[in-house]
Parts: sequence; C-alpha cells; structure tokens
Amino acid sequence: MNTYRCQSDQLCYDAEVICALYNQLRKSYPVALVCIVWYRSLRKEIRKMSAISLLNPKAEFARAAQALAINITAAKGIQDVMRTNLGPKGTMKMLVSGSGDIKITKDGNVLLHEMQIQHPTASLIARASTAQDDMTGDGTTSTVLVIGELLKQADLYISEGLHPRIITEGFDKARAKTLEVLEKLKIKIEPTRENLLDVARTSLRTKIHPQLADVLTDICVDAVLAVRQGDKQIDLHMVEIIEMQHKTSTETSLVRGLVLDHGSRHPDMPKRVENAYILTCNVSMEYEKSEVTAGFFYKSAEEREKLVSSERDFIEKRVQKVIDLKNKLCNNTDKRFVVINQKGIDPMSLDMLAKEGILAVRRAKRRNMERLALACGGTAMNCVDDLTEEHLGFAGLVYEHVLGESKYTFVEECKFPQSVTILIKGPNQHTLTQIKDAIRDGLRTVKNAIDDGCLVPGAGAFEVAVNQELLQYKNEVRGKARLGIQAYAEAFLVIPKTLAANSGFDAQDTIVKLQEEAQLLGEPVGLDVNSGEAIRPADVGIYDNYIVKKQIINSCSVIASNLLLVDEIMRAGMSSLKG
Amino acid sequence: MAAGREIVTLQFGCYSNFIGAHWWNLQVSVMFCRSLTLLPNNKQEAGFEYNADNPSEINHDVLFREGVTSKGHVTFTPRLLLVDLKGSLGHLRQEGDLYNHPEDVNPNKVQWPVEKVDVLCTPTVEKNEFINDLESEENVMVNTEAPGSLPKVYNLDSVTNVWADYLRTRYHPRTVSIINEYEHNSDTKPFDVFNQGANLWKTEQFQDDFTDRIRMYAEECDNMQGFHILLDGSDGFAGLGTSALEYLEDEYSTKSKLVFPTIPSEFSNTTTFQDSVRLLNLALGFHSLAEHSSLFVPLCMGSSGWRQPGVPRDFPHLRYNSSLAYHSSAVLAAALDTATLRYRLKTGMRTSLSEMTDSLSRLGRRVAVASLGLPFAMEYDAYLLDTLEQWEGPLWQTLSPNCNLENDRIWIQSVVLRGVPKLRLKSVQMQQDRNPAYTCTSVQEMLSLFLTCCSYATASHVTSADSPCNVSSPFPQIFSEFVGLDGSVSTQKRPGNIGVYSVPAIAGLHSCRSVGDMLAALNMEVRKLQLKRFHCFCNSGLEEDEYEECLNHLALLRECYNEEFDV
Repeated sequence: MNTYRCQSDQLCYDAEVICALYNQLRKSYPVALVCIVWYRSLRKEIRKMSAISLLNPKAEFARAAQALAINITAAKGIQDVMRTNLGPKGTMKMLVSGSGDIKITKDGNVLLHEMQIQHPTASLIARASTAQDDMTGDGTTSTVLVIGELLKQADLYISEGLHPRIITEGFDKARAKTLEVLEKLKIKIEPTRENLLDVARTSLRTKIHPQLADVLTDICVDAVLAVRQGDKQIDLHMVEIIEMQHKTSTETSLVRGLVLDHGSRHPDMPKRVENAYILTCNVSMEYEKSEVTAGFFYKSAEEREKLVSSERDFIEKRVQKVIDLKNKLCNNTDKRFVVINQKGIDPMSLDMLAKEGILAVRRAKRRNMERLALACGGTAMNCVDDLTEEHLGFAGLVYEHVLGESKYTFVEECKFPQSVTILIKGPNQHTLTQIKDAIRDGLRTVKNAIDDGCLVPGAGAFEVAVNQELLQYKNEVRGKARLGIQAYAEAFLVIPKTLAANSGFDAQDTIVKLQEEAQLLGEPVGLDVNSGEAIRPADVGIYDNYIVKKQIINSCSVIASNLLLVDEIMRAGMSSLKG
Repeated sequence: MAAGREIVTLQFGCYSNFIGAHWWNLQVSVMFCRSLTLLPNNKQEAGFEYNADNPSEINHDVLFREGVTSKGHVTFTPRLLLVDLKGSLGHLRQEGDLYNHPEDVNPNKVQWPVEKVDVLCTPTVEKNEFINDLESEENVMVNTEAPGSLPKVYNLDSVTNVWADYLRTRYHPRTVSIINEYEHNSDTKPFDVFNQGANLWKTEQFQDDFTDRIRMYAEECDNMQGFHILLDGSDGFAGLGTSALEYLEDEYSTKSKLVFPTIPSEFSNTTTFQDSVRLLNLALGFHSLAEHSSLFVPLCMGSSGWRQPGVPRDFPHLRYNSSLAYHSSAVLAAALDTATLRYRLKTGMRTSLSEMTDSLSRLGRRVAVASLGLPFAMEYDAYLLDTLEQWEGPLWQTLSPNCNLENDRIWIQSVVLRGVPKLRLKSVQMQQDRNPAYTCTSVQEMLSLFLTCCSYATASHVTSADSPCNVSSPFPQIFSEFVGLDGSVSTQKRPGNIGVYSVPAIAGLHSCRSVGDMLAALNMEVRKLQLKRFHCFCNSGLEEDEYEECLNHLALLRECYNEEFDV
C-alpha cells in the first residue's frame, strides 16, 4: 500500500513508470491478483484526472488559444529571421562558426539549413520551405514570409472571435482564385536566350552581387540551352560543376566540353593533345587479386609467380588492345588518342600507354561516362574487345591544368557538346560554395522557365495584382468566409512590403503607390528597388518562374490552414520528460 | 607489387572518430619521435617533420598521402574520410588549416554593400593547453624542446569533450564531412536509427559529395589494397556506414574492406527503449556487414556490448576510466595500430590486407575477434624467452563484445608483437640444450613456437616489429605506476611527474568459436524485441520482411561457427 501511494503522489502517468511500478509490485507481492487490482485502481485514478479536465471548458479553451499563439509566434519568429533577406537589396548574412568557419549567404534555403531550429512549428515551416527548394530551386524566403503573414493576418480575426475553421474556408476559396489570377497573368514565352536571361537574372540578383550575377546569368542560360535536347526532359546532371580555388569569382566560366578534376598519373604522358579520339571505358587496367576471393594454395614459389604473371598478362592484353586501336586509327595522321577510364590503371599499364603517346586518366566519375558520351560523342565501353572507331568520341583539344596538388583535365572544342561544365573560380572556399549554390538555383530557374513555357511578372507585381483581384472577389462571396479572403489578400502584400522595406522605402507609401498605379494602368505593376517608384516589370525584364509562384500559393495556404486548425499541442516521447 | 599499397580509411560516427584520432596520433608520434631523439635538427615540413635518413620500418605511405599546398609546402596527411554530426568538431575547422589559413571575419570583404551585411558569430570555442601549445609550436616552426628531453605530459581527461581536443594529426581539407541535418548530442532530433543513416546516404547531395571524395583518394593510388572502415555500430552511423560499404562493394569490388564496428564503453542515455534501439541498429548493421565486408571485427571496451556495455575489460597494467571515451578509445586505437602492422611494414614478411582478410574469413566466417596486450609486460632487462616461459594467464585481453578468447577454440589468428627488438630475444649465457625455443633466431619464430605450444591446432600468422607503440601525450596516461618510461614492468614505482612514452604491445585478430556465442547472444536479444513497437524504424522505412530476413541471416552466420571444419 505504501509503495502505491508514494508513486501516485508524484502523479506520474507515463506508461513506462506504470509498467515499472507494476513490475515492482509484482516482484514484492508475488500474488498476482492483488497486483492487478492495484494496477487497475491506478488506471482509474488517471481516468478521473482527465475527466476533470474535460469538465473544465475554460482550461480546454485556453489550451486551444495557447496552441494557436505558440504557432503564430513561431511563424513570426522565423519570418523575422528571413525577412531581411528578400530581394536584390536584402542583407547578406555572414555566419561564423565557433571554430572560425565562414559561410556567406543570402539564400533562404541555405540559411534554413544552417540555423538550429528547435521549435517544432518553426521546423515545420522550414521544411515546407526546403520542399519548395527541392521542387523549384527558388522562393524559399517567400514561402516563410507568406506563411508567417497568413497566420498573422488570421490572428487579427481570431482574436476578435472568428473561428479558425471559417478563416481556412476563406483561405481555400482565395487560393483557388489566386491560382486563376496566376493563369491570367502568366506570360507565354518561347525559350529564347533573351527571355531566359531575364528570368535567370532576376533570380540570381537576389543571391549574389549584381556584377557576378550578370556573369552567371549568361553562363546558366547557355549551359541549360546546351544540354537541352529537343523536347526531351532537361537533365541538369549533364551540367558538370567544378570548383577551382583560384583567382576571382568573376572569372567563373562556361566550358563547352568537360572538365575532369584529375589528371594523368605518368610523367611522360602528353600534357596537351589536339585532335584527339576519346575512349571512355569502364575497364580495370590494374593488376589485382583475382575476383574470386577463395584462398590460393601454391605448391611452390614458382607456381605463385606463374599465377601472378598470368594475371599480369591478362591486363597487358587489355591495354594492348587499346594500343592496337590507337595504332590503327592514329598512325600517319595528326590525330591523337586519349583514354578516360572509370576504373583504375596501374603504373605498368600507364607506362605502356605513355610509351605510345596516349594520354590516360583513371577513376573518372561514374556520371562523367554519360557526360563524355554526350560531350564528345562515342559510347562508354564496358570491355575493350572489338573496339571500333564509332565507339570513340572526338575532342579538338585536351589539356591538363595543375593547381597545387589538384589537377584538372579539360576536354574542349567538341563538335556538338550536349554536356557542358561550369568552372567556378573564387579566392576561398566560402565564395566557391556561395557561387555553387547560386548556380544550382540559376540552372533550376532556367529549366523551370523552359518546362513551364511561361513566366510571371516579378518585382512584387504579381502579389499586388493578387491583392486587388481578391479584394474584388471578396464581394462576391457571402458569409464570414470573406474575412478569410480579406486576410489572404493582405497577407500576399508582405512580399512587396518587405521588398520596399529592404530597399529603404516606406512600406505603406510604396504599397499605396503601387496599388494606385496598378488600378490606373490595369496591368501588373512592380516596385523599382532603386528608385522606389512603380515600374512595369516587363519593361525592365524582371520575371519570376510560374512554377515557383504556383508552389508558394499551394504550399503556404495548406501549411497555414493546418497550423490554424491546431487546437492542442502535445509533446510525447523522451523530450516530454525533460520539459 | 612494388609501388604503393595504399589503404583508404573511412570513419563514421563520433566514437569511431575518437578511436581514429588516437590512431592517427599514435602513427604521427612514431614519426615524430624518431627525428626528435635521433636527429633533432632536420628539416621541418608544413605538416610535421619526418626523417629520410633513418627510414622507419613502418611504411607510412600505406595510410598517409603526400600532398602539396597551393603555396608549395609539402604535406603528409592521413588518407582519411570521416563523417560526424554538426557541432562535434569543437575548435577544429572543417577544412583544417593546413591548406587554407583561417580568414578574418571582415564584412568589408564581402561583395555586397557593407551596411547590408549581417555578421552572426557563435562564440569561439576555447582551446585547451595541448592544442594551444601545438599551434604555437607550428607557428614558430622551431622545436622548443631541447634534443633528448622528454615530451611534455598533458592531462586532458577533464578538458576533452570532442575528439578534436586531442587531435595532433592534421587532416586534409577533404577529410571532414559534417552532417548538417542532425546535431551532436541533440535530444530533440537524435541520429540514432539505422535507417536514418541509410536514408541520408540516399540523398543525392551527400552521396555525390562523399563518393567523389573517395574517388579522389582512389585516383591518387597506384595500387590500392583496400579500405579500413570504422563505424559506430549502435546509432544512425551504422546505416550510413554500411550503405557506404555497399557502394564500395559495387564500385571497388576487388578491393578488400576491413570493417570495425565500434560500440562506446558508456552510453549517455540508458532507458530500456534506447537500449533496444541500439540493439536493433547493431543487428541490422551486422547483417549488412556480413554481406558486404571482407572481414569485420566488432570492438567494444565493455564485455557485453549491447543492452548495457557491461563490465569494462580489465588490463593488468592499465588504470583507465571506462566512462571516458578519451580513455577507452585510446586502448582500441592501440590495438588497431598494432594489429594492422602486419601489412604496413616495409621489411620482413610483407603480406597484403587481402591475404589477411581472406585467411581470417574462411568458410564464410566473416566476423573476427580482436585482442590486445598493452603493455606486453616484460621486465626492464628481461629477455623474450624468459618472459614467455614465466608467463601466466593469457597473453591478451579480448576487445570484442560477448567473446572470451581465454579457453576458446581459435582456428586462425593473426598476431603482431611490437616493441621487442631482436637484441632482447634470448640471453647469450643460457644453456643451449635446456629449451627448444633457444634455437629460434627471430622474435617471430619464437612467438610462433610459443603459440603453437599453448594452443591446439591453431593456424597462427605472427608478425613482429621493433618499434614500440608510442604513447606520449596526447595519448592518455592510463598506465599503472609500475609501468616504466619505456613500458617495462617492474616492482618499483615510476616517479610521479614522468609519463610513459612508449610501450611494447601485442595484438591479434582471431577467428574463433566464441564469435558464434556473440552472434547467438545478439540474435537472442533481438528476437525478444517486437519491431512494431519501434516506430522510429518503421517510419524511416524498415520493412517487416527485411527485418525478418536480417535476423535469419544472422542466425545463418552464427551457424558458420558451429561445426568444426578444420583447414
């Protein structure tokens, strides 16, 4: 009896504690029946407790409002962190770790990955934003801002007594309408270089310095256009990205061919060859233990030697086949021969190849096999039997570049390169990382534009238009749901407002100016971040991706609605014990 | 083959990195020590000094690589890749400072209007005395210690929180990968489920990056022998490590892969649930290792390893604190460093990694047991012959969980004895006819003879090396006071202010019957659990069938150790 009281005084209702108590009782009182009765009485106690809390509606309501407050504060919190990033005039964040590692970024997605998000709601929003990046490669900051703002606007009405359910109904209607507006505003484009440059520039200028953004814009567009094959789905993997810690970031360039991050491993091999046949293969050219790992038993040392040398012969014959082909094709011409192998090539094989003036590189990336075939032609070979000329690719120039301990092999002057390389240069690692992140997003933007076949006016023009349309639409809707639509319309203005604030203009002034102008002109009007005046995005070439906007509309509405409908937050598992 | 017999090392997880850090330190100490005592005024390289006039018998090129920084300094760094969670590096920068000096935090340098740059700093991590001394020594580029004097002794027991706190070796910028998704010592989002690791491997970003790093090392190697893989067996790293192993099996199918799944000697959280999760991770990991590795050797300083780590293994001359990862990992590192000498020597009977893994994994017995005798207790002026003759008890202590080598049936073993030079083989005065061992002319021969005498039908491969295990700081001072400066055992106490600098050691890998007991114990424990109760596994994509198959495979593997098929 004592044991039981002592436990129930502490009000431990954790299943594990009950089990422990149960076991303990069982041990001390081996009569099972008694124990079970006690166990049941304990459970009755628990049931009584929760019944009491059910009888107290005030407590329950407080919990609901509290849950909502928690969600809204979290959303506002994460919004505040990201707010300053938005747009080409946002702040750059320099993150310094405890050990002195530096990271410089303005990209919402990168920032979210770096931040330690403990709050469950905030991490839900962050995940929505990361999903946005996975899907489209852009619009991560906007996602966070819009979700935060939707909750903030909804909070105004909820605090006046409106039920969250009604707001979410309004959100749902507004979302459908917004998608209609998106369809109406989208501008059909042909995937020409000029059109793509605009959208890529818009995206890149929000991430890096304008001067560098302009360099990367050309690179990204050219790269995607190069790997695009007719109407087939664009495979961005066919754009190789290589980092070179060297010189300045504006020297980043597009190589119409392939750059490998390794070189030949033999001093006598040519460092530069012109008019070269390229053999890409996945054939081991190194002597190693036999593939069957069963133990060998040798009768004598000679027998072992014999086995080793026969293994060696086997490899030599492979190499000889490549050399034979080279002799057949290149002798008495000015053509040269290059071998790019996915597997290893050992020093003896390298030696044989070097004697013939063949440039050989080993352990190429798996993906480069595919890329090489697209860049230079030919096919990647899995065996060297029956090699013919049509299996080979061709490049006008292959040369090696050495930088410290890193070597790079450039395969250039290909005839119709359908795989290209972006060579990133920068003075230090964090610059390289920053550029790499920007290029990834830039490439995605261009690909999205081609896939969609249309663009949406940027610079906040779309959001202003949505606001106007929704306010009109609101009057067509009957009932309290229109309040939800109102909130939704207001929430989308957060994008132009933040753009204005980040550029140093008054948010209200700007919004009014834009709304007036839009009313007057009857077409989308955006914000010029330099002058603070209204502009037509089409005039200055500021466009956003259609898919990015669509994704934002859908995901933000869903997440915000879900968060609004939460009326109880429960924590379970380990962390509940620690508070 | 003449040139290169390179091995690439991979370390997954915090405890593995603790062991790894000690292991690399031990190796660097050996290189350091020689030049320090024998030739104090030699050239110092950017990484550390090494000495061409007095070539060591250990072939450091097997595990290390030579490189050049962009400024033209020659470096010598481990051929190593390691993975750890965010926040586990302490003061260490991810790319190290060997190739790139840390940059000043200067918002003016950022290509962006200065008023629009936010600088967010986390507080700088304090460095301990050892690290500070190490850095100042490198900055001055002169050895402050007088030739012949003994290296300073540090007590790092209380200041070691992460493995970087005692890391002496400098890593290549490519070496460290950090998982940003999970945080070190995090309660809210721990990385403790097998499938979390497996899923992480499946993300394109991680896999591309990591396989690329492996490939960069492989590309440099002229004749790679294989891979050493250390992985934490009881958390998410088991899944990550085994996924990586699967990739290696695919891409480098002909190379040997020697895997050491490790289990910490103390767990921070020990609820029943957590214990079960760890158990499941181990079972899933062992299953995958048995399928893809050439040989794997579980390592744990506790005697049982799962559920609770169990009683710490007792060494007669060691006083270590098993609750400190800094201590227990040091002992395991000494075992690794010694046992792997078999294929890392320049001289003598060179064998390759594949030969060792093949011979130990006969008949599908993919699991082996590790053992260590530290120090190999000899008196100051004793000879090996006498020491062995008077030896009582086992030569070594088992380091694998749920196994005991004492009175065990050992089929095949590979034993390495280091730190006993030929001079100390036998006394010249001894009567020649008294003992058959007197005819032995090498350490190797004598130890082989000894092992043949004490065990029945065991195929032993013995390697011996002259150089002892160099245990000066940052190796913890865990030796009892009766161990002398050079590792010899005596009845007199060592003066309090002096540490132990080098010790002879013996270590082995054994294929023996008690591995079957280990697997049976694991299987039995796991069978008690119901997978459905562990949502974290089901949620991260483990199927019931898959799990069932894994258990069956473990049972099959256990069968391999049942019957006696002698070679």
